[in-house]
Amino acid sequence: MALAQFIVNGLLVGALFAAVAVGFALIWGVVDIINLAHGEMVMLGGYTAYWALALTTGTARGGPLVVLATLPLVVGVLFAVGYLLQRVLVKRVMGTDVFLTLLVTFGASIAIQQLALRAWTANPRSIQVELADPSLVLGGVVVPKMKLVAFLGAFVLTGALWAFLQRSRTGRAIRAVSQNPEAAALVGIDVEHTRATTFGLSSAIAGAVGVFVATILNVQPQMGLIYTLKSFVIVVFGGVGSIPGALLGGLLLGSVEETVAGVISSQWTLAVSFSLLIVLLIVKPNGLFGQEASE
Amino acid sequence: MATTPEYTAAEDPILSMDSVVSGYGNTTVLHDVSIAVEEGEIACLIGPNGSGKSTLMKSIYGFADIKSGTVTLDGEDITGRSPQENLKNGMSYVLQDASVFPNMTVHENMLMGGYVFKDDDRAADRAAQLYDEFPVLGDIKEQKAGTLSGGQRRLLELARALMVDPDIMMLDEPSIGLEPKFIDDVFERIRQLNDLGTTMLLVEQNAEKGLSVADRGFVLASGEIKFTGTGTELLNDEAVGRLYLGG
Repeated sequence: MALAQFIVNGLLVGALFAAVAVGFALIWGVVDIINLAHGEMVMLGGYTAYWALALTTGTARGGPLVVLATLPLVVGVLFAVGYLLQRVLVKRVMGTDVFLTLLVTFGASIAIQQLALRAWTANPRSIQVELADPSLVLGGVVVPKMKLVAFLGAFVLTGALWAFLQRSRTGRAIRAVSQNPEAAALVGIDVEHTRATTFGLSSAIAGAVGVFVATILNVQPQMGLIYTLKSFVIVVFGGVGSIPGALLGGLLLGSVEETVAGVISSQWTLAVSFSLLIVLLIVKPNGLFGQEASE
Repeated sequence: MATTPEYTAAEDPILSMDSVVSGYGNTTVLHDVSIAVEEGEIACLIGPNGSGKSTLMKSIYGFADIKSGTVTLDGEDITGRSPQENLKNGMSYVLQDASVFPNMTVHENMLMGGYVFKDDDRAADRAAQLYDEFPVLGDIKEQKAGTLSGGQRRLLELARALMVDPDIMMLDEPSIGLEPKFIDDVFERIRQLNDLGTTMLLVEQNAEKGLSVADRGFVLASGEIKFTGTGTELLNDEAVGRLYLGG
């Protein structure tokens, strides 16, 4: 029974990491940038929700619906942050040395962290969700309700992104830019705008995940790094540019880590997940869904 | 313009470049280039590798940086306009390199050709029309473009450029990399489209083949126009033959 509990915990957390990684994968696949400031979008999303609640209601607490009501604001704010990050900063190093692009996004991540530290101090903050009965028990497995909401939210966000890419006009433009930027410009797509939009969408999803993180854990200025690192592992795991791969990779990584933490010790989680990554890269160098490199 | 005054020049051009200096960033490729193409004709640009033929087309379409001079389409100054605007004004362009979207189907590629319409139904209608004209494409419309043969891919690129129902088309080396039987096929298509009224500006590596289908020709070398005349005039010109036709 303990094992089932660990796996359920892992899936619940893994879905959040997966949703963050999906955006990371999208930027990597479409804009060809490894965005080391991606985790900071989770942090900014969490703070946006926290302050929206704290400033309007006086306290960072509320019922589940009140908390979920901050999502549209967070999505809008983080879309703008991501859009501008590409349009103002990352655009300048596009097509240069990969080292330079890493340096620029790493620099952006540090700058955002330090600004957050100045503005909001290092104190962890969290959003208190008021629920009469915070947990469900299903067949002996405890499922915290807010984690379940976060889990479903992560799926909804990922599914919405997937549908948007497949069905909308902008989604088609994003896929076109990812497959052949020159041809995209040829048929009249504004490539720079499309790349910035991709950054915006990916950041918006990461920010929305930040809202859930603020309710089930907490937010603090330096929380971003772990999300960037895990996104990297998940994306390499699932195959660069593959949304289903990132989703599956996130769920898998979450359950492996929780199981390792529960059965052995939490000190072993990173060692085990990175070892698993190395083994996978030897067996399947393109990742689980690697053959479909740009969908 | 270093041209050949005794040869015929366009009198009432639909597309022209006047003293254009252009390139990419700080690099200048074209130096003071002037050309003029009349409505309904096939114009062919020839010249050695690296002479700036592709840059000339890119300068017209909005892919290169124009430093001075003007580009005129149908009496309107279109210097520095974006590809979106040029497509809407009825100009389309087929690149030399493979420019399909490999993970999209043939049909999705066709719809992307009508992206500037902002109207999916209109794009679908136009694609259906083009499948009638190019039944080969209709047969493979659910196939991924990345799996097509060289000839099929070139046909797709050509048909996709027709999605906007262009008045003027620019084709960069339509015959490059194709088997001889497909080359004749492509030139046959170009003639057919031209008969229907589309003005054509093409770049052709095979200079003789290009000039033989062309009403008008331009010889570009080191970023400058060296000769201008009708296709026949240039084909029969002794200097052009010696320097550029390998004859």
